[in-house]
Amino acid sequence: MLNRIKYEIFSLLRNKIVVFWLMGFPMILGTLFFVAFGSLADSEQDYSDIRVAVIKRTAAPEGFDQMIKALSETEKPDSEEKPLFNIVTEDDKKAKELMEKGELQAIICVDGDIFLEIPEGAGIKSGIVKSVLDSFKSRYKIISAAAVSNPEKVPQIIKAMEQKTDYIRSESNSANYDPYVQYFYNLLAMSGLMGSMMGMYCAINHQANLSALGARVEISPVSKFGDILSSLIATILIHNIFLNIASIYLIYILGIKFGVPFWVIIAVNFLSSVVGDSMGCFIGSIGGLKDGIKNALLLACSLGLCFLSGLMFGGMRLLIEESFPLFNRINPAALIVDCFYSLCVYGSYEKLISNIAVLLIWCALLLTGSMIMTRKRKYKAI
Amino acid sequence: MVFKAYLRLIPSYMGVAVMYMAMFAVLLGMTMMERSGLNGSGASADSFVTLLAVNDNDDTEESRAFLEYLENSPNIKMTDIDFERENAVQDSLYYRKAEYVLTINKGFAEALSTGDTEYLLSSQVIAGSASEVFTESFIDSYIEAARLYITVGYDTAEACREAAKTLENGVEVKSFSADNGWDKENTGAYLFYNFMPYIMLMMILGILVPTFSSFLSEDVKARSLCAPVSPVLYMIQIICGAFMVCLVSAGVLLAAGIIITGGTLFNEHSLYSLLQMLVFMLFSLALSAFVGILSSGSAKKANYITSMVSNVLGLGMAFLCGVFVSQSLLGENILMAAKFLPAYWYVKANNSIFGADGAVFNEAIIWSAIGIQALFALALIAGALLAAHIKKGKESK
Repeated sequence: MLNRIKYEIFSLLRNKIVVFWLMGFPMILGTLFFVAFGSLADSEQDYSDIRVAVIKRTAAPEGFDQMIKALSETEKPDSEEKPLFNIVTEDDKKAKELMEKGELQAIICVDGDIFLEIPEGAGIKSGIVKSVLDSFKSRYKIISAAAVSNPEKVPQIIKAMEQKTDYIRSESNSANYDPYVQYFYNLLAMSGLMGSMMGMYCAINHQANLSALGARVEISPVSKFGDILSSLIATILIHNIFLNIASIYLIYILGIKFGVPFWVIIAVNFLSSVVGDSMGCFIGSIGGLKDGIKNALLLACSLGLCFLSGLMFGGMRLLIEESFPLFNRINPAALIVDCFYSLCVYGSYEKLISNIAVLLIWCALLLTGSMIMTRKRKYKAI
Repeated sequence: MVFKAYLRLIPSYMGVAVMYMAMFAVLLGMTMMERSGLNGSGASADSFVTLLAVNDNDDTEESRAFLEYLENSPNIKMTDIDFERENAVQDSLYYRKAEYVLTINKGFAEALSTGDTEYLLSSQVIAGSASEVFTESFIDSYIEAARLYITVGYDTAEACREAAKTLENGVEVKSFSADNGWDKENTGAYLFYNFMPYIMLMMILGILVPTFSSFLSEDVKARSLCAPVSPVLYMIQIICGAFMVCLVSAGVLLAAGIIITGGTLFNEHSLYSLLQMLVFMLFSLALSAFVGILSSGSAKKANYITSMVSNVLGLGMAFLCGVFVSQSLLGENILMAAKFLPAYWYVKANNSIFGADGAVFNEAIIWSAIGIQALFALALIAGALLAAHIKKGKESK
């Protein structure tokens, strides 16, 4: 048996197509995801250092200068933390020039009242400036109105304004909410299920009615069960090594934060390779279908399941979770992704364990089905 | 004869083309839907939108006034979450269905009236995000204004309404519009031409490499040398056949584009778009010839080389050059490396044609980018000729 496993491994490693698609391609695609999505995640966290011009054509309202000064300085001057506002210029002409070049997020203009000029299609940074100015203006308005109607209340209002209160309690956990990490989860799921191409040949190459090689193997004096099992073990072993190399590359070389311990990744990789190879073995065992059709069927199955778990469109898994959650409980690709996701986002091992249980049921069903279909040894005609 | 025989081989590889056509339609349709969803909600001068989900546990006049204030903001889009479903909040935050989840705690109105306003709200949010900073600043302004009105002497419900009114009449915003040529009507056309390098490369490589490889294999070539067709004419007919396939593919893609974009594919700058589509098509044709010559000899080899090369080059160019992710969001080093790929120049010209992604319509940029793509195509044609020459030398030995 060990000898058979050894030669199966040699045979698989000599197959350049297998090596490329199961190890090279996930690494290439992972690198491309990293290149494309790396800056997107950073841009979401980027809100300080808003480039602003402050133009004063008339005298500013009381407290305006103090507010601008406070927002353009950090609390700790020595720290690397950047202040919210970066006052680029106070010159009207230069501000217009910078705005035309797209190098300013807002022009704050004091001309009797406070005005704000922002570029068309501005982003959230311009919105933050507006919100700050709205707040200042509302306070100014309230205090001015009170000074006219209820002057005795002004000291109370000033006291209330000086009182700093946190209105909102944050209940956020420390989960990694980077939505692009799920593409890497899906990448590993895809690599796991794509291994079905290898698993398919475990059945085809050992079944007399499926290939000439199978017919030759069948007449040899070896146990058929042992033969298919050794082929499957070798396939799972190689597949698993490829998956782990790809994972090491993603985590330690590209630095992708999976948000789960590495042993979980190894365990899930093992399961996904078993599910993928068993799926291949099951489809491969079906008699009466040409190899090309089986290949197309497996490709459609693995890519289709990965599409539904969010490989091509990130929000797909949530869409299914909200409309037809049962499908996410049985889709092997979604289960693999959910093993990583649930631990990273919910921080709970409960879902991980239930996902693993369903994946194990899948493995058992597919392998039993394959064994039933490949049990025949005698044929009147092939 | 050769031309006809070449075209007869094409239907065997049409499956690939159909698959990529379907993928293109889904990709374009979904991206257009996503973009139109965002545009529809951005009625303000500043077009960003923060997705906010609110769970009102207080359900009083004051909390409803607060909700109304949030709903009326042009920069906030309310989103529904099934708070009953386990992990719904985390899922929504992760998939950006909501960027900020706010809970109005029970006793909100009472806390406002007594002045005990600490932690009267709770939030779950993507920590450290710009949405968090914006939304909290927006909410803080409201609560503070309401508190000040209560201090002045208003009752709580009235203070809430007054606070909303005061903040709604906030600073006047002027929108600075640089005339870069961008028109929202062109979103579909822009996306169509932007995805073109990926789809065209995948389709053309998928169809042409195996056919080139078959026609340039030793056996077929040796047989054709016996026929009364000169080698030059033989090559010309194959190239004409391949060119015809490319033109038909481009035509089918354009027809699909017209349907998907609802007839908005053409505008006054479309000639530039069509010209650069043609140049990129020539590049794809030259690349197919190059790969086909290298893999000629074995049909099996040609098939797996085609899928490897088309996937690596197609996806590589799409991710590195700005097809899937805007060039403005890619790092400087990546863009520097991408300059050595034609798709970078294609996307750059496309951005300039439509005034998209921070670019401005500029004929000089467009012409130089198209010229660079033509140079890439020429370099590949030279490479293909050289490869054919070396291969011929080896075969004659």
